[in-house]
Order: sequence, then C-alpha cells, then structure tokens
Amino acid sequence: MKKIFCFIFSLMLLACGGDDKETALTSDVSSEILLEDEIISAKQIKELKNASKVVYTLPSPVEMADILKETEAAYDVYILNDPDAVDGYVTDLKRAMNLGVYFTDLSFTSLFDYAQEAMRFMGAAQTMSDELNIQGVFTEDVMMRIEENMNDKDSLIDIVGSTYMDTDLYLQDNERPVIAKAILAGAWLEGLYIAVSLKTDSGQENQIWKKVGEQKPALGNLVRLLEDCKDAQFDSLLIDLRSLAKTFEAVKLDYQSIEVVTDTASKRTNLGGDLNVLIDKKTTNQIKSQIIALRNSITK
Amino acid sequence: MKNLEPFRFNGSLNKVLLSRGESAELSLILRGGKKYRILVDGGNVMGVLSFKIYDRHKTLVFDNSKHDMAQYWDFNIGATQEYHIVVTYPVSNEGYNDVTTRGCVALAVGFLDKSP
Repeated sequence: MKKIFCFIFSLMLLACGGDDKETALTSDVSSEILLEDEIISAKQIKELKNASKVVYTLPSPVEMADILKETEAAYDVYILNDPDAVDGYVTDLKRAMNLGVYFTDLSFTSLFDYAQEAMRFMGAAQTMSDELNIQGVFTEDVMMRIEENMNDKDSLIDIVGSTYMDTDLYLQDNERPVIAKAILAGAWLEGLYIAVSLKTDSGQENQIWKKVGEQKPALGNLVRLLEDCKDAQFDSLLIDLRSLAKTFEAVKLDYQSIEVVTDTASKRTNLGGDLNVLIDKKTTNQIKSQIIALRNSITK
Repeated sequence: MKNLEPFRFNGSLNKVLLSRGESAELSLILRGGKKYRILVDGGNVMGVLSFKIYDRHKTLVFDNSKHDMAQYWDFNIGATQEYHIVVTYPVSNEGYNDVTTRGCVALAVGFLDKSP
C-alpha cells in the first residue's frame, strides 16, 4: 500500500486537473461574541473566506462500508445491486452512478469477508469501468491481486480503496468531473440504501439510524457538489436529493461541546465531544422510503 | 513524504492546483469513535504547506504552523461532524514575487478505530 501511495503521489504531480469552483464561505458569526473573541473569530472567518477553492467531500465507499460494519447488522447479499445487471445501464451517467454503487457493494462484501461475492462485484465494477472508457485501473494485475488476497480481508479492502482512488484520479486527470461525481454520488447513496435495508434487531436499528442521521451534513455536501457541476444531467437527481435534504431537516444533531486537547509529542489532537441524533419514527420512515426510491431509480 | 500507515486510507485522494499564497478548503466529515491521520503533500516543488482545521462553527481547532509546519497530524474524534481543512501554499520568505508559480497539493485521509 505504501508503494502504491507513493506512486500515485508521483502521478499526481504530473497532472492536476479538476474543475474546482472558486467560491468563498459565508459566515454566520453571532453578534453576541465578546470583542476579543470577535477579533479572533473575524480573523478565522477571513482566513476561511480567503480560500479560493472549496472542495466538498463525501465518505468514500470504503468508509461507507466501515460505517455499516460498525452497526454490527447482519450481512445480506440480496439487498446489493445485481452484479449481472451491468448490461442494463446505457447512458454514461447511469453507468457512472452504478460504478459507484458497485464500489460500495464491493467494499461491503470485502469488509464483511465475503470474498467470492467481492470478486463478482469487482467484475461488475470492471465492466462498468470499461464501458466508461476508464483505462488502466481494472488491470489484470489488480484482478490477480484480488484473487491472491481473497482470504485477507485487510488487503482486499486496501485494494478496493486504491482502485477507487485510481478511478477518481484518472477521471480528474482526464477532466471528466461529471463522471467522477456521479460515481461518488452512486457510492454514497448505495451506502445509505444498504443501511436502511439491513435486517436488524431494535438495538441495531437505533445504531443504524444514528449513523444515517450523522450523514445529514454529507447530504448537504452532495447537493453542493452536484450543483457546482452545473450539468443538466444531474437536474433530476438534484430534485430528489433536495427533497431528501428537506426530510433530513427533521433530524436534529445535538452536539455537546468539543474539547480540544493536543499532545505535541505524539502529533495528536483529541477533538472530544458527543453527538445525540434525534430522529422520530415518521422521519425514519420517510427517509427510508425516499432513499429506496432514489436508489432504485439509479439501479433499475 | 510521510505516509498514512498504520491508518487505513479512505480511498479519496483530494488534489487541487494552488498558486503561491492561495488556499483551498476541504469540507470533510470525520466520524466519532475513530482516529484519523490528515496528510498534506506538495511534493518537492512546493515544499511545506500550511494547513488549518476548523470545526462546524468555523472555530480553529488545529494549526500546523504552531507545530513546526507538520505535514501530517493525527486526530481522535469524539463526535461525528463536519470539519473544514484549509490548505495554503505559503508565500515564500522572499516575498510575494512569483505569482505564476503553481503546484498540485494533495490531501489524504486515513482512519482507524479508536483504542478502547
């Protein structure tokens, strides 16, 4: 993994494309801040506003799978997208979104140690990648490494992560941001879909909805990320995502204050605090229904 | 160049082209119960980069200029929330006299379960 990482950094220095939007942050500094704090906050806000490029990120497929693993819910392959359905996606946007879906399914099966099924999803992802003319990512070498590491979950998930990164880098370097963002959107939505579709007991269900609720800011990032594209292909998806964001407004994130403690010797900072996710049954039902409909509109 | 090990790379390598003196902001969700390593790299061309982290209230919680311009730092996260990482390609000590110099900045994130 270290060698792969160094190599990718080398490639990155040769080409650094992208469609970063130049924008400034807005601030909502409270008027009740004391004068000294006001000066400090104003300086910090100025530093933030001076950022000429803003990049909105989402949890990657590997992170989405890790979130699902944390819930300790039971693995269920039948809720995942059919890896044999690859021929049904005829537009590049659908192919890209389903490549993202398959990346998450692949991460999920890898992390849950279902290597044989992971191979099927790898095959599906490879097919989608080929149809999108993404070159040099799903190579024979990568497929061989997956086979060789089928019994090593940690190596398998590392390969999935690096393959996803290579895909994203290829698209950035070849100035195909719409495809890159469609993959990311599909991957994230699949993660949410799996979360709301897993069979669970009541204890796990609370845990799952806490994780879903925590994705509220990520949903906001996804909407902004797609809006920044200014591509009409995302119009329909954006309507659905804004509607989902409206439903998520009923999810309350109750943060306890952060304690910041830095240990210079260990090069580590503790950003403490706690989060209560407050979400009622009506909202969970609405979110579940919207996510399932959204995901089905992508995969069917 | 430092690497992310033993942290698990999250699969997203964020990169952006910056001119000298320019900044980029990355909006990132960090999850409670996890340890993260945030690493910035400008390669040999750009040298050390400045990076600062703000919480969702835009409060500064980390500034690498106070830690010898460390190019990576680890974070134990208590509660899932959105953080904003601002990476800056510093103006050279000789002054702001080379506005055409640009370079590619990469920001990588790795994660681990927090130790009990």
